[in-house]
Amino acid sequence: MTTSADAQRSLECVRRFQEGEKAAFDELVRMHQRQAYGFVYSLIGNVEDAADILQEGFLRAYEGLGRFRGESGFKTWFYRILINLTRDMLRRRGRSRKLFSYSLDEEDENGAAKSVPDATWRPDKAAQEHECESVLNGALCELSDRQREAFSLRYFQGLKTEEVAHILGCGVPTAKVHIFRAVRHIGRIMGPYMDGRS
Amino acid sequence: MGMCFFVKRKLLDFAEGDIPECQAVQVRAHLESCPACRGRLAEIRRGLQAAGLHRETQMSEDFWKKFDVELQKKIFERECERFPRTGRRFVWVASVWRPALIALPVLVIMFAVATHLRVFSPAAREEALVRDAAWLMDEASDEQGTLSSDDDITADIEILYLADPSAFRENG
Ligand SMILES: [Zn+2]
Repeated sequence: MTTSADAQRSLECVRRFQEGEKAAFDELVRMHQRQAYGFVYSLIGNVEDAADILQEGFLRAYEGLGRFRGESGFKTWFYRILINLTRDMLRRRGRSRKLFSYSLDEEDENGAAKSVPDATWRPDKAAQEHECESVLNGALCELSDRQREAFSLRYFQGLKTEEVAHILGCGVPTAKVHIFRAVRHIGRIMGPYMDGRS
Repeated sequence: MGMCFFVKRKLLDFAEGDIPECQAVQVRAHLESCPACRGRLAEIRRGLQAAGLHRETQMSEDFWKKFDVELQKKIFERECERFPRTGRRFVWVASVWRPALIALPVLVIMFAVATHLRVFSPAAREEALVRDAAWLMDEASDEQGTLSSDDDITADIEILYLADPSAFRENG
């Protein structure tokens, strides 16, 4: 979640970068890379693709920051770049590559921190958590691109509906509809798992 | 049916507790009598609960180190593509100084051209001839032992020059 202090700090880095301070861009990368990675990953569901998109996103930001006038926050501007790159990649691949198609063990080999200490450590609760997350990822795959983007921005990134609308380039009512449909669909799919938990 | 349409649009805000109390009262009243909307609300609540299960994908420090190195490499490559001869250095010249950097050689060229024109223009050549003549006359008066004032010399030259400018050119 971006606080207004973070947003101010980002804009300050942008200003310094525009004045020629290279280190300010490195600072922007450090500030945003982890959260942005989580966002892209939630859209594309693949560790390598998410890393590629994030790299390209930062490159585009690097090249485009000179023209950035600060009408929106840096995060909003940057996430729009990421969304466009993600849409391009999904279009190019024609969705031939299934979203969230790898197992948790593969994820570890690719550099994700392990969620469980080792393969033998699988008490019921951890297994259940893992299963829930897999089902959640599966439900995310079934959403339309816009619904998935809106849902991820709203609930994984903690943005307000107005900010979601701004990033998606649509009106607030349209963003609300995307979020509503996404939440409802995920609720339907996750129903049995959620009922068991509550 | 009309009320269902109204309530459906408010259900997400209602579930998140982000709705004015007057509307919340209407929604609550409708939910009591409408199983379809109650079903929708249950789905929304489960969806919100599921969203809370999401854990941020945590990548290892090693992953981020590689990521940063790769990004720096790509930035450098892009800069070399965009500025093949000047490389990255030019990019890092502060944007406020770039116009000055471009303006400087232009000003130097303009100055050189202006100087050139001034030195070789007819008016400038004539001015130079008059100046030389003044020195010659000054030397002549020195030899004669008479000291002419600057005003006298200038007046003499002007008279001579106006009478016959070509004489100055020929005498060089
Ligand atoms: Zn109803």
